[in-house]
Amino acid sequence: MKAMTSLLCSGFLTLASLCASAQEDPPGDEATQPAENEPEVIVDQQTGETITEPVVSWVEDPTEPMFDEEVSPVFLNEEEGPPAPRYGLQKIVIKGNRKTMRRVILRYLDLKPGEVFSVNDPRLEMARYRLLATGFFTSVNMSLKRGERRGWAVLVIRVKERNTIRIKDFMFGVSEITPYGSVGMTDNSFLGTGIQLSGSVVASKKQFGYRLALADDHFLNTDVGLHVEGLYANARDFFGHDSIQVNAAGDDINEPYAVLNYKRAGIQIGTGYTLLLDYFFWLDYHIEAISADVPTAGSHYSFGERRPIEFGHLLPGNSALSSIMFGLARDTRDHQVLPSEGSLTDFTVELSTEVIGSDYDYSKFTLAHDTYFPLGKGHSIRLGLFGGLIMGDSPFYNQFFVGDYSAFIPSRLLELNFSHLQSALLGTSVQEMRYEDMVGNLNLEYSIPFYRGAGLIYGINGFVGAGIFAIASREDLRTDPKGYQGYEVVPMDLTFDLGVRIDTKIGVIIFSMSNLFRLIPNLGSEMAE
Amino acid sequence: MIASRAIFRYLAAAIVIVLIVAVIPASAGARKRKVGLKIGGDTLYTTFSYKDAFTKSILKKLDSGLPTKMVAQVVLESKKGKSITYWARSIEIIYDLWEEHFAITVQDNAGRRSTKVKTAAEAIRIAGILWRAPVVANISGLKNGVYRLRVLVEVNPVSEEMVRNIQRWISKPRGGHGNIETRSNFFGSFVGHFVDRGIGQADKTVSFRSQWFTLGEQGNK
Repeated sequence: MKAMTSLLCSGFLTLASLCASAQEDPPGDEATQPAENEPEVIVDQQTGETITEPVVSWVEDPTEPMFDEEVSPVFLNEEEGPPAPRYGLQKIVIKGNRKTMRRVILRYLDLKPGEVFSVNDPRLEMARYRLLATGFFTSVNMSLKRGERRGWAVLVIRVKERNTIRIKDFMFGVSEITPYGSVGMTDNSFLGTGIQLSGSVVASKKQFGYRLALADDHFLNTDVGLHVEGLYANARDFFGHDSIQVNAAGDDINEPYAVLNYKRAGIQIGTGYTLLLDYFFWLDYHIEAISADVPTAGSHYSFGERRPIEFGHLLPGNSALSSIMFGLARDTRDHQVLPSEGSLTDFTVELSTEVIGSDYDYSKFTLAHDTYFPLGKGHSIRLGLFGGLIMGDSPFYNQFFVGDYSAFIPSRLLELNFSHLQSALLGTSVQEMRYEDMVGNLNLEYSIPFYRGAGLIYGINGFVGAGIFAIASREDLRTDPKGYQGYEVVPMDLTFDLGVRIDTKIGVIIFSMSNLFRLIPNLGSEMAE
Repeated sequence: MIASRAIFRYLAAAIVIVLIVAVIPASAGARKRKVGLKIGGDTLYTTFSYKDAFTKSILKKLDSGLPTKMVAQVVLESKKGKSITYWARSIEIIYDLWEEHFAITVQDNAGRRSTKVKTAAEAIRIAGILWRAPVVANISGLKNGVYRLRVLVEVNPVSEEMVRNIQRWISKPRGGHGNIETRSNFFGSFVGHFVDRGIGQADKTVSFRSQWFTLGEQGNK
């Protein structure tokens, strides 16, 4: 009885709007309207079709069958219907899994052979949807067959596998310094094990990096996940601006920027757990070796006077970074890539101290929150808030980078930077900022669904976004902002973007204004500087 | 200055896109289908078939031993498009592997009834036709006017709770990924196909509108 009521209610949802109207507009309301106001010509409110003749078209209760076969009234038993059949589960047969291991499929089914179950058991339906939600299959169908003995049944799970390999992190750009690009691949079920394997490579002139990661959402068949990731980078970054003087080899030289060459190799291992469906906890340990060729000295004009360049807190020569990270996320979004309602909140903490063998003492806190407001017909507005704080001396690549908040500056790839541009739309002191310890960001994005499909392209959303951000370090707040007056003192700037987000079979593709800047360096420079 | 001009160019493009989207017409409504109508006392009864809901794949599932569930919903709609009354019936068909019969259970505001038949064809005839269903009660309380019925039949609809759970399973893969961004890139669109096309949708939906008819004091004559 309860199941039937639930079924009825679920069906109600589809006509929820009609139900609501029905509740809000009792027949009495309709009856109170004067008859003389009724139009002669009726316009169908849904289709806009004008109905002229016949306005009234009764089909009397058919004495002759309306259908192609004899219909007689159905006489049903008035008493409570028979209970749903119950069977003993003799065995589980899986068909169609050419790649996916049997144990991977069985982990989503809570039924075990030998159990007695009802055909209405919600565990069956849940297992089907959980299997589909893995993304390993395009279809999952279940059926029962007679078992060898009366009262026993065989559960047959028939799956249709899908390609689990896809391209990710594919990007190409040209900054004012160098062409750059990245490409990555991920297999969501490596060798059919359900373990995700992914790798990405980034390259530009005199820089390259790669990352390899393994993630098992069901480590040792539990609900606890395990994640291991390796990273290597042979990289450089660009510091200072305006009349640079660098003393790297004993002589002063004038350059548009000072270059810091460094290498880093690290590994990160972590675990995660989903609690109460909406909450995700994770705990990671990260260790890496750093080798940096830090210029011995450098200066530039900043805040109206010559000041020493801070080379991103990196220690010269070899050093080690060891940190513990943990986070809590709450995700109620209706879709991972093209959401239209729900919210995502993510709080993370990173602690690095010599107690765990690190040469860098710092703590880093970030809080991000995105809320999606549905506007109907798939349109939505996203309100995004982000705040970050670092206390101590974190390596620069772990700090907040201005390019990560401005659409007019190339974003980093695998924490490698390819540009020396500064954010200067509003002409505030934000143009002095690059890698900083504090950041606040507020942005709005209007999302428009253009297309939904089932072929190569799953969905296309257009988006228009704008934001405001402020970024600085603690020492900047104590610095006299010479050369800036009024609102210019506040290190803030605006950003906006416009484009389409395409969710495809092979990956997510984004065409946006900021992508255009990355391909046309001069345009990007104009916008940023 | 150049930057300002570029900003205005892009803002103008954004406004154009928004305007284009705003005028995209709504999707076409349901099809029309003639239904049988009868007034009995103060109740409107209707008769129609929706056997086209039984597609090949659904027919194949009928004798799978697992339940096939249907929900038929009927709304009385005024000429102004307002929903006046609502009526629904749920139907469940289960094939008993060992007894070799189809058990059909129906539930609506008149209660819960059940029956057994031997063949799938008989089951479809019972479950796929609404025969003199009392979809509108107290019609004397309605204003004289022109009305029609809107019908939606879903086969194996998914409950809102289940839809929400599925979205959660997809949104948060259980793993040790260190950050949300990584998880988004790795996993999100991977199951986009399923999210867009599978979740929250019944195996088959049949929807239509009836012909117009009059109800009320004059129309019932």
